Amino acid sequence: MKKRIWKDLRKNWLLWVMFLPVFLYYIIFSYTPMYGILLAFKDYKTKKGIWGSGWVGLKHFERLFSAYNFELILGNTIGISLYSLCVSFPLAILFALMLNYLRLSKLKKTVQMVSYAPHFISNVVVCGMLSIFLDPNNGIVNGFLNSMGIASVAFLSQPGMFKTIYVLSGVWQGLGWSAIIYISALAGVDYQLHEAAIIDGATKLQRIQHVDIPAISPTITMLLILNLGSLMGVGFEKVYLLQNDLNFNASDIIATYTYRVGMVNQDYGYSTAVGLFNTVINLVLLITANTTARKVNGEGLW
Amino acid sequence: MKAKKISALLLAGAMSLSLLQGCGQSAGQEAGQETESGTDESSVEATAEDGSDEAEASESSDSQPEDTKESGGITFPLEEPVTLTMFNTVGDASEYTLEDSIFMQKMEERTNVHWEFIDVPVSELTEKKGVILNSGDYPDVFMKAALGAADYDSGCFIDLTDLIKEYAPNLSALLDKNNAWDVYKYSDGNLYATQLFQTPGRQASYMLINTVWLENLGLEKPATVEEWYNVLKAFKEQDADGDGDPNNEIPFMLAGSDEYSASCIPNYFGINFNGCWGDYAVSDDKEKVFFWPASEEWKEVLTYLRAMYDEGILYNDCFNTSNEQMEALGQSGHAYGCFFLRNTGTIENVVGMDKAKEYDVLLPFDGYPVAGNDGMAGNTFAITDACEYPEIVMAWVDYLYTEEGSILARLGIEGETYKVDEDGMWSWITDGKYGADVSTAITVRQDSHGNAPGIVTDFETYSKYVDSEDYSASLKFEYDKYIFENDMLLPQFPRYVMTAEEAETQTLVRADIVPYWRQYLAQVVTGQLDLEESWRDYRQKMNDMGLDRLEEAMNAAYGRYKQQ
Repeated sequence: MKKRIWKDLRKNWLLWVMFLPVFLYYIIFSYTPMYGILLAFKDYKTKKGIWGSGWVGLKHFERLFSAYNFELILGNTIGISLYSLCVSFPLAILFALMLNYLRLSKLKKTVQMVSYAPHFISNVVVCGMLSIFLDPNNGIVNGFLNSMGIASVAFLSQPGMFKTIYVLSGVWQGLGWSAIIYISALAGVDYQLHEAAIIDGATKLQRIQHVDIPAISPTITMLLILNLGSLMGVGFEKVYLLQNDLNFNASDIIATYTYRVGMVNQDYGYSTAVGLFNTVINLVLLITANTTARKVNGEGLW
Repeated sequence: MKAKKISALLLAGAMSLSLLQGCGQSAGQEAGQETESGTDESSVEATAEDGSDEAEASESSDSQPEDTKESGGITFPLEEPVTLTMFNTVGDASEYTLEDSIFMQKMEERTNVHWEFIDVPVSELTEKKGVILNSGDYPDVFMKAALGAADYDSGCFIDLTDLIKEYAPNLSALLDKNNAWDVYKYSDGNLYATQLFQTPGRQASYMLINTVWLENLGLEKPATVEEWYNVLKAFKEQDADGDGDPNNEIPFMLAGSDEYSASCIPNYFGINFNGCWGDYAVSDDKEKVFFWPASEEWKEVLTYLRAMYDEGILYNDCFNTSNEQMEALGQSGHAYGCFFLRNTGTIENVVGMDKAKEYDVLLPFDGYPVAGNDGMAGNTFAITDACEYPEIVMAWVDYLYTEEGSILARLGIEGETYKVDEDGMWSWITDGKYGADVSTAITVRQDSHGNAPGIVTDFETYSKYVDSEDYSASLKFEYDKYIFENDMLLPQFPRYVMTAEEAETQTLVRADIVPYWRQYLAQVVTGQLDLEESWRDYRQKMNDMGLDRLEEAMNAAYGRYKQQ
């Protein structure tokens, strides 16, 4: 084994050198900070530092699991991200397939560009726009509803609507962007297959079903696994910015809880424990998804 | 081929270098700072030594007024300038910085201490403070930073007890006089911050009502809860502002947090509370202290707020409105029938210049007295262990505890920023170079946004504070005089001292319970939850979070306090 690595190193040293920056990047920015996980098992005091602070065992985890709102934040985190996944994941595929069948390449390019432009608007601005548009008194949406004779709805004050607002605005933000990868996969489909299908008299839907979908299914599987792996990692920014006392029951997620505990109350040990719990679940999900995918259709990330 | 290889190698090298660059730079900067402070050190040590000699000399010879002289062994101005760093809170929209203030310029001339400021907007205070403290690279001093248990627990602050005794004679005397040494000790027995001493007064925000609307509808100023409710209802149903449209008034305005929010109401409903930033109260028989959001009186407040929200009396988006939005809404022409104003705020700021004079103060309902404040506040100014010259800092801040220093900090310089009339009343100078109106001139104050260290003298406060241009100030003056003369002021919420264990319980329980009661308030008032049905659950859930333990800890500390 050792010998083989040495041999490879001597032979492909150039490749190894090119790999070096990436290697360093992960060591410095991803693995080195990981020792901070220790905080989850310590009673952190700034002055004493990470090593110097006293061990407290699983105290922080016990506190988390017995917290009155533990079920709520866990439920909200999973709820928001599953909802988001179920809506935006298929929509991106549909959108890519639709674009793929557009004849006019100019129209196709324009639609594609317009649809991924919102991706570049920062979350702060998007949330500002949302709260202006959805304002119950002066907002454009309620203005429209009023003109139709419907009474104003205080969208952001309703816990029941929070997840939908979050997911739909997320679709608007991310649809074009997440479709890009499918569009490029579709562009790689050999046109001869389509020609053969057309000669056999296949309709467009049949061509999608039997030519396009099988061609992009590895991509779909891969992205699905990746998405499941970040299921617990609902974007903090947007939820935090849209959160208020009224939709709190639907909008308090693990990330915002960590923020409150860690940044506001400076309870770093507990905050790290909550974050670590989140990450462990993510990891378990990722591994499960990958194993399942490999068993079911023989494809996986590793 | 060879060239290709070399260029690839170079590329890879460059990439890894750029990766490391970040670290390298900061290391370099740190080194630079070290040398800088190194030079400071040598210069100041010399000064301190010289200073003590000079102090002795000056004591015997000259007749300077006591408070401008030396404190302990430090004589100002220092012979060699010293540069120190300070964490300071500023207003969110404020363009004004402490650095440019006349107060800081004069202080620098006087002491030869130069401050570099980290100005943090008040809305980001908690997060920024935590990050700065815990990064390990924190400034020498934290001022107006609303320091609390979480900050002191970091272990970054030094005990000031001996420093105050030695280098701050004025502050030391004030602490003796008010018997406040123990009150402000943290649960570990250390005194981490200096205090603010003001003239005793009211606890917090007061309610204002639009008198023009009352006149338009032929109504009296409400004196009971029932009357108040009926007046606001009339504001809603009739055309109170007289513009022909009965629906464009906002009869009762509240905003999301603290000083404009529903947490100002308890005093008006007969709760002797500790201000709208706190949520404790003391029972009328003084037997116990309690957490008022769990009390029956608060339930009554909720009943009224619920009815008001339902009938459109209370602004329908109030739980989504920030303090800044409320001010912007008021200034853009939306008239409020009734709202709360914080002690340091101005009516002009909430409803605009032209409408400010329409408002008058409402006393707590049913003749209940006003929650009082003994004028002391802690946690105003703390020194970290990063500070190399804590004794200089302590002597510096002690000047603010003299009458002269206090006036410099809050009013500036007579003839430049404020003037005094023949009756001994002061007012802002609004034609000079420090601002064309009161709201600009007032920015000379060192204490905007947060409790600043120092004293507030009688000269500055209500007893003499009259200014025809500053309507809010004169209204507040009249109001304070009235409640003072009619003996309507309750004593300060007891300043009991908690043990380390009790303090820990308090911190843990409050982390859960405080967001919860605010959230419940919003849910009940907007009708998401039915008050009668959910009240039991609400109480039960609070107990699950540790309300019992919290009140037990509070009362144990209060019991010890009563026995003293």
